[in-house]
Amino acid sequence: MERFIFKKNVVFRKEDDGALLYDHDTGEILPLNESAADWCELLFANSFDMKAAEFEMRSRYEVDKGEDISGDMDEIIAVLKEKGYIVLAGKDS
Amino acid sequence: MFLGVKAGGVNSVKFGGGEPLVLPYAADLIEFFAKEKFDLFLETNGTLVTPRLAELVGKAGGRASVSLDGPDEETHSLLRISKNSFEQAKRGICLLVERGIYTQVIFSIHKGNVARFVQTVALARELGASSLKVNFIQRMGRAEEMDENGSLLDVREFLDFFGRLDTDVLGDFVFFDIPIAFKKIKRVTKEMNYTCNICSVVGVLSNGDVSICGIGNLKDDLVLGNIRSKPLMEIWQAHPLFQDLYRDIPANLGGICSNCMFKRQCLGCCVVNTYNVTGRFNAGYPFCEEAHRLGLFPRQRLVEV
Repeated sequence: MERFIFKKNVVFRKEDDGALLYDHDTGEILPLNESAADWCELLFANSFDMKAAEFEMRSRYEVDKGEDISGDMDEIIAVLKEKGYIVLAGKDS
Repeated sequence: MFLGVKAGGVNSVKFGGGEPLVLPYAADLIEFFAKEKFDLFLETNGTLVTPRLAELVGKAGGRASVSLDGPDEETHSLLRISKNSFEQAKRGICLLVERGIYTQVIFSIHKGNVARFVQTVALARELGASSLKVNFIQRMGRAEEMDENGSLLDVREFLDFFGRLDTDVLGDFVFFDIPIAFKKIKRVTKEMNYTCNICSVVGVLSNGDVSICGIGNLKDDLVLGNIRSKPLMEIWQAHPLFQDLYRDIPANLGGICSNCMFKRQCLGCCVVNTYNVTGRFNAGYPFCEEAHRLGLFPRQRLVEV
């Protein structure tokens, strides 16, 4: 399974109501809401694999078993990949 | 002049002052902006807005901001030389709102009206304003006198006021004119693009003087030419001060700004205020410098903590 990490020189700052991603190289900044911040913390800062991250998020947000939240995770990964904030683990530069 | 800059790519005009509507040709100018399809933003104290002027601003598809510094005559007039302007300002707001114009109330906060903030917000809503902006008064121009008599809020007092308000309750209606680094993430998401476009702005004063923005009214050393003697585009493109500004902002911002995550979005917040205080455009923004000195700048917003 693919695993992503924050690109080198990306700063992740978690706050009460979300998080900020700051890219040293470009000076770009990306604000994240609370749940996106949690996904990022689990997946890219704490290196949870996707299944473990989903399990943890279900527990934190008391998500019903029938509700699919993997789409949220996929979307976050896609956006951050496209904006260059994350890279595949082992390919950081 | 306007046709010249339009050909050079300019498509919006902020019509401000002082009070722009005292100009005898204000209505003609607004009509011209409408005809030439400039985006118009009118900054006024509201007292001289007439049905015809409001109609013209509406035709121009313009937006407006009107100063309202309190919910009653007594509070509103504290900052003003002319009294009895409160009812006129309210009438001006109503005339603009009635014509469907986006109208923002500007509340310049000071020690004399801070306790009347909530009532002013309520009044602005009642009048149908689109939003209310809270301005921190910078120590420039007339405000220098206010500073001397102790009526301005200092950075600590302003931040304390900002911190005590529940901005979630105030909602999107209230906007604080404070560097974005001080705002909650929810607000950051909404307000990332609300910055001063200082690197694409030129100011022309009523006497034809050219400046960075309206600052030429207050700082003679920032008057960079006059359109009576040289075309505006020529002054704008060639004056070394403009070139310095575009080179340094945001890349060479100094002080606290150099270590702020929002440097590229905030652009030093108000670099003419910085110039007024420090003599340089690219020094750290004085408000943020003072907040940092007091330990009130949010550390989590610094690149290197």
